[in-house]
Amino acid sequence: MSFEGIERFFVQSWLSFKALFGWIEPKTYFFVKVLNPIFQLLFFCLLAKYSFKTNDLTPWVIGNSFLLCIYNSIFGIGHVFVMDRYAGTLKMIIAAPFNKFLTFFQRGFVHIIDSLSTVAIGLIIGSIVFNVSFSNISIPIFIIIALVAMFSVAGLGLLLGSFGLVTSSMNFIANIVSMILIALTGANFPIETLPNSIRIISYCLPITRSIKAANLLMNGGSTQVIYSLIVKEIFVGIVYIALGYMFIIITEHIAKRKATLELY
Amino acid sequence: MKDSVICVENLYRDYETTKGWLNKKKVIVKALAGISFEVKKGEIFGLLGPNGAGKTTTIKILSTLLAPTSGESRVLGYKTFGEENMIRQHINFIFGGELGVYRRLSGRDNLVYFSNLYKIRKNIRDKRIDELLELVGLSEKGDLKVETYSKGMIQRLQIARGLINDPEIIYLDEPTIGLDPIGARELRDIIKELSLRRKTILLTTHYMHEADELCDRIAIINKGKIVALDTPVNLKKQNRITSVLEINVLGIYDKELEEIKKIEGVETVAVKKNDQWQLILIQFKNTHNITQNVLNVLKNNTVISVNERGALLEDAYVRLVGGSI
Amino acid sequence: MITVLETIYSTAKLQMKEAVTRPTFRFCLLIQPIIYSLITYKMFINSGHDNFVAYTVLGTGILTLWSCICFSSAGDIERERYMGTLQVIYNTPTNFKVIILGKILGNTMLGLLPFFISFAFVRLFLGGDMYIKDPMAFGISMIITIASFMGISMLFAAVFTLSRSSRILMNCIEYPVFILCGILFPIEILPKWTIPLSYILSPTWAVKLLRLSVEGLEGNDIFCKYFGILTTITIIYFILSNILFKIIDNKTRIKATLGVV
Repeated sequence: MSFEGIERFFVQSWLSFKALFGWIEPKTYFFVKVLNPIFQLLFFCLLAKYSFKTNDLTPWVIGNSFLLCIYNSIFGIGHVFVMDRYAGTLKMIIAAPFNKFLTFFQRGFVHIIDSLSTVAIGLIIGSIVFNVSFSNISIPIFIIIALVAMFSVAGLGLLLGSFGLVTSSMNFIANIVSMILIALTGANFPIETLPNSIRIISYCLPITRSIKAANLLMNGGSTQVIYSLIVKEIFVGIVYIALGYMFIIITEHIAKRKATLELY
Repeated sequence: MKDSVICVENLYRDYETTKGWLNKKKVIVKALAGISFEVKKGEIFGLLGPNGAGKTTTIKILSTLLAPTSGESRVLGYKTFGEENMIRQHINFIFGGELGVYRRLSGRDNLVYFSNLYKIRKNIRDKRIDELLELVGLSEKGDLKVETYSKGMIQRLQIARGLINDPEIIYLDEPTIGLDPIGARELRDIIKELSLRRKTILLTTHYMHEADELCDRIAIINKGKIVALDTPVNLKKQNRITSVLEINVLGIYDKELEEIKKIEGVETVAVKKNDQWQLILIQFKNTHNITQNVLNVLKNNTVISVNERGALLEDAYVRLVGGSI
Repeated sequence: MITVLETIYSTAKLQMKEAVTRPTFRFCLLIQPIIYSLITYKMFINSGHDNFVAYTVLGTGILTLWSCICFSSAGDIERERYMGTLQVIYNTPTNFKVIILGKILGNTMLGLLPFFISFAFVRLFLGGDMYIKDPMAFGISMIITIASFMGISMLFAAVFTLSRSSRILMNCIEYPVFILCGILFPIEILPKWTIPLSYILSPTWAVKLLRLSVEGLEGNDIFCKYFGILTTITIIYFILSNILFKIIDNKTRIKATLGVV
């Protein structure tokens, strides 16, 4: 990529972010992207405090903080093509010569950065309110785990985003997926208590392994297991990205052959 | 006047808005700056004027949606603000575009719902809905969801909705906007039909030929004031000594327009932009012959066509509101 | 009076017909209660509470009812504006308040569905069972709960219409109310300074009443006390919203600053 290419990448990325959240004033941003995530975190942690009758809320603070990236990674990235559907520019994107996948990355990039800040806010507030200490662990490894989690959720977001080419009910899909993530990634209750069939879903989801790795790290678990979980999480992310990519190519192919571009 | 159903006297309406971001300043915008008119029962009364002239504000005040800042506005003898409960049963309004109905419901469901809001009894309601669907040509599609309708069908459903309470007065705010020529034709026929039934109609439109065809009387509003109020025939008569020169050119500069304005006999110059070329409309006193002088100014431009004709309602309008179409 | 009831009924019917076609509402109504039930069931199973399934079902039901109110009642006026129907309904001889009340009734009726969905899900898929010790008291509690949710909904609809900046809040009041009203955990585990906030929110008392009748009444005293408080708060909500709707009419027609019509 040339320098100009890199610049274009960032400009496009920022523009598409603005297109989605552009109407947001600083006040709205604060409510939607700072205050609301904090309340979501508090709610689940308090629920855990009451139902598990415990004062050590470390796993819930971490798990639910990781989940806060949903707003960007599932709703934000999931909607990358939806805007085009409304604006009637989807046809142009499908027909355009440039790599659709790059368009995707361009549009999703700022969301990943933005979601990191939300997750950080969650971790900071959560650890202050519920006395979670990060003093005895390796912070770099923790950061790596968080980054890998964001990457892998963003992968799922990309897959959903590619569905945006063919469906108009992205909000519905994003809502369902985000609820499933809250329920099944082990952030709120151990996935071992789920029936086998549902546990398989848990292991196919992003974040599940990151949460496990982060909890192991906090409890001083085996570094080897932590590393292997990190690698697996990266793999999950890559699989989702690959699926999203395939979906785009197949959709494009079908659309061209059947001349159903108009349907978009 | 005794048989007037709408009386507007010296009506003012201001809007207060804030300007600026850091130093917020209150700005008062005068939407209506003292207008007066009366509409007789059974009349089709047109309100013409450029965007922002005050047409919609007038309609909103008369349909009780907005209070006047000062002045009087009475409908059927009642004040539109303060006595709106006496009025609402007897009026309705229809605006152009695809809004104003519930898209996820069927056409018939929409009509049933709105008739309930007008407290219409069930035995009257069902019969009336059938009649209205018939009138607007939606009898067969009445049970389909509105989202499956075409633009024209939604517009016609709007009409049915606007007639659901059998109103005495109907306000129509640019009803044919966005319709194809046939759809607009059908709509105008419905409006004429309503007039035959002695309904009073207050209409705003951008289309002069429409106003010319439909309206008994027309008020032309500009910048919140009525600049002319008469029958279409009389409005055109005012322009009797005027002729219009229509010139299509490829590209025109303001400098050249200024020069044309200076030619003796020229009264107004307006420009309509088309895709590729511009249409210059020059109104002039037909005691003068200006054609050669104008062409002299345009000697460096590519002139596609030149045509001289008598004045239309549109020309009267252009004279009154000054250049903007 | 009869016509007012008829209008409310027909508006509620229309609202229900319309709402179920909206994907977001369907999600709130069908999917959300199932997933919330799963989460709360799996968490409460450790609580050692013998009737924890009732907590799950009630909690999930009220959470979802609240979500329906947030996404629907509060946003309905905005949605009508967007569809261009707001000025049409505003201009009919029917009082605007009555129309909004009808819409809220429709939303609330639909919002009761999740109670049953949650119960069925927990029963069929998780094998949980629950009891209601005092069905009669439960029925009464449920009725006043519905009324009070309608009251708060009305109040919110008015506040959101009046102030643009409070409309931003609409998306952010879901979790704070879950927390403050003790819908899934008692408010006693919250810091002391938040308790007054909890007390002025009617769902707090609704939850207390419902829990009480599920667990069985020791005596009628506490039940009557909670019932009285909830009724009073609900009446206050209705009075307040009545005042706010007057202000809305004034601002809409005189100041024209609300963009309602």
